[in-house]
Amino acid sequence: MSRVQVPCHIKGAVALQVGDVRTVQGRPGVLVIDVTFPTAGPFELQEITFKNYYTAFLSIRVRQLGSPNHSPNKWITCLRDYCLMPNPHNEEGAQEYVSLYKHQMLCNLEKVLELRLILRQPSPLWLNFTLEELQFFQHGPQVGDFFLMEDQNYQIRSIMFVLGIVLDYKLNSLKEQ
Amino acid sequence: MILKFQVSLQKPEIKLETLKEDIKEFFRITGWEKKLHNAVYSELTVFPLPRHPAAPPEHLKEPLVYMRKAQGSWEKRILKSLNSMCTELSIPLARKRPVVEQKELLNKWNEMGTDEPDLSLFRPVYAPKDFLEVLINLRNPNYENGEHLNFKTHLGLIQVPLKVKYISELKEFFVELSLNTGQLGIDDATQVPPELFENEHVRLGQKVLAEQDSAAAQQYIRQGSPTALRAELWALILNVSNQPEDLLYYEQLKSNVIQHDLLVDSLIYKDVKLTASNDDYYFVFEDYLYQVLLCFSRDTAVLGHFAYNSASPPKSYIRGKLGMEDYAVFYPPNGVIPFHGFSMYVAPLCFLYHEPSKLYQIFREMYVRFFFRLHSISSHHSGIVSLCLLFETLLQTHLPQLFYHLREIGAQPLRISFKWMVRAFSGYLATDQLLLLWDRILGYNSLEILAVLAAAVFAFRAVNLMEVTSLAAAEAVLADLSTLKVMPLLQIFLFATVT
Repeated sequence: MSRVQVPCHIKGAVALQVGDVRTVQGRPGVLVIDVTFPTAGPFELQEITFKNYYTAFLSIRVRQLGSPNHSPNKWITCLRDYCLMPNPHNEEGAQEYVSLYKHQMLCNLEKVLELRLILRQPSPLWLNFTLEELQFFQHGPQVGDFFLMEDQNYQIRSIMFVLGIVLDYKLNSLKEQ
Repeated sequence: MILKFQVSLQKPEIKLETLKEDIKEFFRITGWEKKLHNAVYSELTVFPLPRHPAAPPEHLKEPLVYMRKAQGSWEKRILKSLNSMCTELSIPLARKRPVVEQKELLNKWNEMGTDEPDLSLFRPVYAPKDFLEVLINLRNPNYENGEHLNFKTHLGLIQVPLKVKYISELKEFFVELSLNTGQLGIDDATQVPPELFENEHVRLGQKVLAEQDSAAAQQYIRQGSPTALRAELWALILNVSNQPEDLLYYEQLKSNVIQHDLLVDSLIYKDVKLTASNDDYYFVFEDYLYQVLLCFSRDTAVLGHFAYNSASPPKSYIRGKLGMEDYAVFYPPNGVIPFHGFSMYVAPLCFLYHEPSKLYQIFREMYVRFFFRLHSISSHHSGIVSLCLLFETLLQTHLPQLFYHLREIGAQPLRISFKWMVRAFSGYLATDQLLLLWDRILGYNSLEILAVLAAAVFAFRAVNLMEVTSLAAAEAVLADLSTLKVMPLLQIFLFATVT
């Protein structure tokens, strides 16, 4: 299935912390990244890819275009505490490339306006954490009968190839007789 | 059988629908199906899972950026050392041998050990202890490396928070080594009647060999391999067969050795003379070691493993064409620079294989599956960094008093056990015990057992170690491992230690 990247504007991560950032000891464990799509209208989100950098858990909230007679657009959680690092204190999964698909989400993502990514890293051992190389994709152009024909073509060609081997073998053994 | 197949082909209509079944049947009858199974299984075992489409190739070699950087700077250091030795001694990295010398070498091929070239000016490019220093200084820039003690402070030498298995996970992983499963190395001792385990195990081994099934052999060998069957079992697991083209390939490598002389050859000579020739068990195999290692340095097929190795082969440029990619070559041709003790990876294999081409193939397969991980910086669970951390964690968790005592007297346990693990215990254990250990490495497709054994050795000699007061004394207690029996130590440490 082909996919098309949707241009997006990613706002800088905002740390959520109780109390005054300057006076409180310890690093924030929650970051929020807002993503807007100024040039693209409401679209159907197919896939999100990114490179993890020491984020342990990811939640995503989405604001969709509601139907005209409903109340103003609300935020809905479409992914809750998705685990990126099985053990937040270890390096496992810390710098992996990840893809999230629409079938993994808790709700339909048909008319996405904005996304809010909530990153959590409960371990105090890491100095920073974030997500890098964020990319969002929607459905590409529909694939038609052309591919079906290609498929049959491929089947025929592969059978011919195998037949070639078999006949070749037969030829060689005939030569030996 | 062939006639039957031909007859079936001569039917007036070759139906496309039955062709698929006929081919499958054909494969099954000729034994090619088994060979295909083994080949696919071998590929699955060796190569890591396909990576995410957005991940660059470096990510497959090593996902953590800081480790890639550390490996890169370590490689630069090695190359600098090699190049400086080259310029100091004014010896070219490679040269073509004159015809007279080629003839001489060909005549002496089977007894290169008698040659006594002057190697006094050569020194090994690096030794395991230099590598240990690099690992000790490995730091994650995003990690809390402060002086304040916290709940996760590493009290050992390794300071990176890689994932290592807990003892409960190890017990699950090594379940075939448990107390109520028969083991070769324990249940074949003279006092134990062979009818209890040994005879049945040998019979099973013969059946596995008759079936020629790699996966079954790998499962079987977890309980040890009978001495008579070991050579064939290892060849089956590593998917090494004796095809004529393999023999031809080895002869081709041999002719490469004859025609060209590499600086790396002198390093190999020096290493063999310093290590294997001085060992009571392995000095007889000196000639074999040269035949294998010299060919190994010229084998470009080894370059394939760098796709999943965090290391990269050193590139060299033809004289005068520095920086031009068209004139870049890998040096040595296989991309692996031998270090002090490298020849010990080959030496134990000489007990199993006497034919040089087979011995060579087995060694090459063992290297690209396991041994490369012991001298490159990576986060892989079988990589040397994880093994060191696993060793230290096991020791801290299960022998905390011993660990604390050794740390207090300035004898960090890793300083003693590192050399064992880097060499996969070759040259430290008695050969029959070493081969039993390497059986399990093949069976579990993992080097973690080396770390477990190292911890088990410390546990075994804990009483003596508690009484020492210096690093030198601790080293003396652990200097001689040749009397140790590997399997009982592993079993007791994993399954019978009261925590």
